[in-house]
Amino acid sequence: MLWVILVATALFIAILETTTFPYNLGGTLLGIKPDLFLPITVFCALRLELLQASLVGLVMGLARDLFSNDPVGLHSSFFVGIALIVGLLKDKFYNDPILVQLLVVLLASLIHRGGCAIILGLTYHSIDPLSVLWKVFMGTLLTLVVAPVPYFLLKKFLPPVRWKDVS
Amino acid sequence: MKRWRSRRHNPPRKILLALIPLVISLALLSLPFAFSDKVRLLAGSPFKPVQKAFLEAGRVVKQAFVWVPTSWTASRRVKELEGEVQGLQNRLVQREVAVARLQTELASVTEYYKEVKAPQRPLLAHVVGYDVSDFRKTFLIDVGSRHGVAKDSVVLAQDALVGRVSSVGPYTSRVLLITDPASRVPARILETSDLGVVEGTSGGLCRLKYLPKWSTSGGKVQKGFRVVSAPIGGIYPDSLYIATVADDVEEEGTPYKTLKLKPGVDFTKLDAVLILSAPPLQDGQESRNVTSSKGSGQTPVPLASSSTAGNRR
Repeated sequence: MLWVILVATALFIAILETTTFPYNLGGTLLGIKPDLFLPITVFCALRLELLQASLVGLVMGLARDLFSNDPVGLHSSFFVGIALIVGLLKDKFYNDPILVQLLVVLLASLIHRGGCAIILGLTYHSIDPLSVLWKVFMGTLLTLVVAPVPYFLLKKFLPPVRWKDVS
Repeated sequence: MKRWRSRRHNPPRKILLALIPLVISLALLSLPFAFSDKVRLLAGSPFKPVQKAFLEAGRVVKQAFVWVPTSWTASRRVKELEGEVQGLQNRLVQREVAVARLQTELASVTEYYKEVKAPQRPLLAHVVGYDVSDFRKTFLIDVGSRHGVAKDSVVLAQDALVGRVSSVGPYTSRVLLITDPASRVPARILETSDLGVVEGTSGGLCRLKYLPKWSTSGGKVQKGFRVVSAPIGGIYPDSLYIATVADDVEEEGTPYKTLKLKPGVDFTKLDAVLILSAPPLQDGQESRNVTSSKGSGQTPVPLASSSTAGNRR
């Protein structure tokens, strides 16, 4: 049942990102929109087992790949990679407070957007570096702004593992 | 729910299992682009009505937000605009007379006019979704191969080039905008006839590259000069307005000049677009079109006169 909810959530976010976000924010924030897939991947990775976290990354990444013109597998590779790294390292630090989790989202977003920008820059030489840098940082910032929404939703339905439980 | 919670010690087997999704993702990356594109469009088709509904809802909400503040100053502006409209209508009549005269002249001296008159019905399409990625500039439209859309069909809006159809599904198609980094459009500056290539930058502007630093026509490129399509390659028709020169980009050590261009279309406000079916490439077509398009000061109307101008009138 949880997987059905997860897939439905991924598709809902994809539709939101392809319609409402770009249409309403496109004119004001130069076409940059927040990424809702990544916070969910990160928060799930902080709460679930490693295999489940990487599967969540795969589902979220594939949903993103489905509605983008980037090569299929690009975002899912990044998301699974991020989920694996977060899943492997989560026991090493105190990850309960929201600020710590948001910091993880910030780092993950920088890695994802930076990685995509590098790949795109290597593929298409015509890309404007300044515009891409702006998009990386502004996109990360916007993602951080919306990240508390999935955080509180997941906190309600999927409580995090306490640090004292694992240490 | 407890089953989902993390446990402290993951045996190596679990790590290996967790790597399977990564392997799957990397394997997907190696799929041929054409195949994965087809799968993507097919899988995305069922969501078209939902996307349309969301877009409509978004528009209504946005209009409501815009309407409230603008209604305060609306009545004063209406009077000002009425005066402006009258002036513009007079100018429009003058322009139409000039355009009609130029078209007649053009018809008598170029072969191109005959091609434009060939039956090429534009297809109206609505935007149903934008690209998820901030770095890519594409959108999905609600027509596909079942409606007669073919790959590389030219897409227009507001009498200017939007891009081309990059992939076609049965009921939806993806349009690659001229601002996408993968987009390349052969073009020339209308005022000087210098040839170059318009490339997307992933931002709001494009670039006109590979212009000779020493203009062959002797004319100096200035801000505001118009850039139109050149028929090289057989995808884009001749003399279709693309963008306006916005700035110069200084590049030392290259024999070429690069210009920043402001696209003729505001991509953030696109609701509907026109699709022209890809013209069949004929022997000697390129060279004939190039020779027919020579000469500075040519008006960028031919294609618009056959398709989009019909809309305008």
